[in-house]
Amino acid sequence: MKILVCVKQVPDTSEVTLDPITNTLIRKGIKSIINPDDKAGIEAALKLKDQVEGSQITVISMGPKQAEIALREALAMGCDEGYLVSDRKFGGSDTLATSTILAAALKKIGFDVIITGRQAIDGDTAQVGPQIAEHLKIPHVSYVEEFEVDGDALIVLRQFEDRYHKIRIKFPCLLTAISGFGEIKYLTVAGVIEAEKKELKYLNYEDLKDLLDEGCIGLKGSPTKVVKSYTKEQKSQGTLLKGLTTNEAVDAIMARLKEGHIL
Amino acid sequence: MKLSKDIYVFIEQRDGIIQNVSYELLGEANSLAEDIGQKVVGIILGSEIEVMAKNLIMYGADEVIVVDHPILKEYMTESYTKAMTELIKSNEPEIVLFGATSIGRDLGPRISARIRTGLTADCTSLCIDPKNKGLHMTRPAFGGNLMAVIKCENHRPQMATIRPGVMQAMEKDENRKGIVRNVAIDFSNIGNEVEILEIIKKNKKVTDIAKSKYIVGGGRGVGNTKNFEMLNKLASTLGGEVAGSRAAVEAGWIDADRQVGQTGKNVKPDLYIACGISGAIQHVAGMENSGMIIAINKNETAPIFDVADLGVVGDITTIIPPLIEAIKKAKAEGMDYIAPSSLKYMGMENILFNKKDGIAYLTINRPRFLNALNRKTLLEIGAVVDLLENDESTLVVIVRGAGGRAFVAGADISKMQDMNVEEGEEISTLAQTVFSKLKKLPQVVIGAINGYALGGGNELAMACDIRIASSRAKFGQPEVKLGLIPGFGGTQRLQRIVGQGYSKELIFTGEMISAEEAYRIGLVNRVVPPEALNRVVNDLALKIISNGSKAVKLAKKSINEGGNVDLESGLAIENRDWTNCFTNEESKEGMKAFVEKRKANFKDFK
Ligand SMILES: Cc1cc2nc3c(=O)[nH]c(=O)nc-3n(C[C@H](O)[C@H](O)[C@H](O)COP(=O)(O)OP(=O)(O)OC[C@H]3O[C@@H](n4cnc5c(N)ncnc54)[C@H](O)[C@@H]3O)c2cc1C
Repeated sequence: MKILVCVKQVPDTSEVTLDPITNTLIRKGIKSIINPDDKAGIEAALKLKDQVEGSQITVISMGPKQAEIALREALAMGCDEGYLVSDRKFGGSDTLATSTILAAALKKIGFDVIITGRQAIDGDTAQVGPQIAEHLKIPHVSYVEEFEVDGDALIVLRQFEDRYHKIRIKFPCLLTAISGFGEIKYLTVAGVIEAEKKELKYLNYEDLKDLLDEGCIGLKGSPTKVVKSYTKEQKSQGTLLKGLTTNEAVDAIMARLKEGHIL
Repeated sequence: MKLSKDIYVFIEQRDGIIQNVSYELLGEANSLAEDIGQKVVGIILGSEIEVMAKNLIMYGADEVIVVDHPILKEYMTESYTKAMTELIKSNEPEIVLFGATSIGRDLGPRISARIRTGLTADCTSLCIDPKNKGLHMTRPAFGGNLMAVIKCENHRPQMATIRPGVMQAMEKDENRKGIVRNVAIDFSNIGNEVEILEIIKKNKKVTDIAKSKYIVGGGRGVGNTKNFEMLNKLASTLGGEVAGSRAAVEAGWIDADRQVGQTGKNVKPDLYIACGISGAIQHVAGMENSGMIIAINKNETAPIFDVADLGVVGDITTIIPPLIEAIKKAKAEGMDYIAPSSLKYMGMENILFNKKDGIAYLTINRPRFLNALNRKTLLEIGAVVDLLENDESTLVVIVRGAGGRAFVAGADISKMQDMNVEEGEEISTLAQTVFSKLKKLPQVVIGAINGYALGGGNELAMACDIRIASSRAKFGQPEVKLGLIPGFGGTQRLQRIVGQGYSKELIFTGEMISAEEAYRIGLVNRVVPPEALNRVVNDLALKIISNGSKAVKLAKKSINEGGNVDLESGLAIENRDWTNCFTNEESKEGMKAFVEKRKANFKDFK
């Protein structure tokens, strides 16, 4: 079975800080990581490969050359081959344009099942997975927590806020994965060395030209545009009490609760 | 570009129950509809759901499109996408909104790709660009570190998913009119590539923390399950729910559906107590709009203190147990306010009213709306003022705002923008009448101004006899910024308090001034630290009460009436009221005690 996994390289947003003077994001020195949900996607792919003999996992990332690092890490985790989808023409793509390009690349490579992460931590949109499925005219299930192979289909557990659906979905299909596929596989030295030996493959606009409409990619092909961005304003300063005895602390809190008519 | 039309709201129902986020979106769609002059259409998909259409109209839909089909009973991507896409293609709405739930975030992208239009995810605010009437969608990015404003200029519809809990639902209006349209969609070509084998409801008691008024949030600092039990106890003592940071969820101390933050729930309770939570931006993103935030943390540099109204540096394990006891005790003794049940009896929702030992407390209680004044709130204040007029046992009335942020942030503009000339006049008349009655009460009225006193809020404050401000308070008459003038007494009372010069500056610029500045120009009597406000106001009230109540009331009458007449007439008023003092026993006791060099005992004369 041909399993394709999409991964995105993202800045570790839990480490992003603001410059207190200019109030802008400090991006320098922030380490890049494989998006956590995409890592869950890799785990899911590895699990699927274990269940279906003779499977092959191809990992794909769209992004600048730097994303090779993410691909190498995915290979070290156990993926068999890696593709970097990269071209200046792809720059400035919003989710719709990105999913259009990725769909073309996935079609070119060929697949039985596609796995993406539910969402990326830099944008948090959760849109690219379902959009790829739509472009490829295949069904998808998002928010997948678990799955089993069942003949020509997968039986997946789809998470909602208040329930699960146990769904049977036939191949070819797309899943978006959330964390929860069991233990994270840690990288081994052997794995890393093995991964370094593998050749990465590349796809650019020329390679995908036949499958792509130039008006649907990059900045030009993106319906949504950023008007502006800004860092959030800090709320007006509250009161900070320190060095209180326990009784004073309780009194201070009680006073607030009474003031707010909570008591 | 084609002339697109309405604002569509995808109504999310689960087991026939409309999800709150859909009501919130109808409310938001209504304010957008005002700006672009279009109608709000709710689209509800499901099986045997037509009965719910009426409800949607009461909450703001002008039209409801119902697609009723057994296949739509439970959410499935393809059937829902097909129905929505066909409706969008045939009706060409201008805007389509979805809740950013696990359904909306699955359905939205699939539709956007099928129609090839833009979709902005997880928005926290929407507005219409006045220039081209396009939709501007604001959303957090980079884990909430950055806010981005997104537009979708050349494609229609403009689509967005909106985070639950951030928009405001409208008040239910049973008389609202709208039309209901049934549309049939052909689902016969949907294959069996995807089928639901089983629906497993999460069986644990799912309380939606977003609905709770009080939330106690715990983080990694709570340390262990046993300590989390303690937070549970604190929450249940308050009558609220526990929630937690992601670290607490990961530690297994609470369920994932109680996680607050970017990847959890967005909550805005009246009270959020953060215990052992550092205040990572992803957590703060989900709770910063709470009415009041109290944080307890060992580390005084924890970022949670930046958003807290009250931060206490300390150890939760020592503070929380006695806090629980103190709350229990306060509840048992009955605090100085009347129980919610009796408020309901009086039909009041937006104010709290209570009396104790000669002091009455009137609290504007809409902290989520920064206590903004709407018609109902004004009517309720009026009703309480009427009660007080003949209340012999009360000498001081304290007017204040609930929550930590605002006294009253103004009139409820969202309600006002729909008003025609007659309604505009009516609301001004109502507010002026109520405020004048307040001013004329026989009792002394003290305004305890804890936060914003803007527009109608400043006008309410000015109708008080004495104003004491917290250093955090802000004052202003911003009406001209909205193309209005102060209409609840501002152009008249302000000049009588601060003179015409300052009054004109404040009203013409519409700018806010600080408490210090308000003190400098004489708008408030005193500025005190936020913590001290209630104590100072109470002390002041007690001082007044210790005096002869008849004399205080006569003095107020004399000052009030004299304020509007020339000096000669004023002196005549004073003469009348002075003389009046001699008709009662109170003055006899007062003067006798003075001569006998003892404290007067006025109690018997009340
Ligand atoms: C993509 C992404 C999404 C995320 N989404 C969320 C989200 O939705 N919600 C969320 O909460 N987090 C989220 N996080 C995680 C977030 O970045 C933080 O790691 C997390 O909120 C930290 O939890 P905490 O404050 O409980 O723990 P810590 O940061 O470890 O803080 C513990 C605090 O407890 C204090 N403390 C310790 N002992 C005591 C004591 N005895 N008494 C008082 N104080 C004590 C410490 O001083 C410290 O400040 C997300 C992260 C990422 C990368």
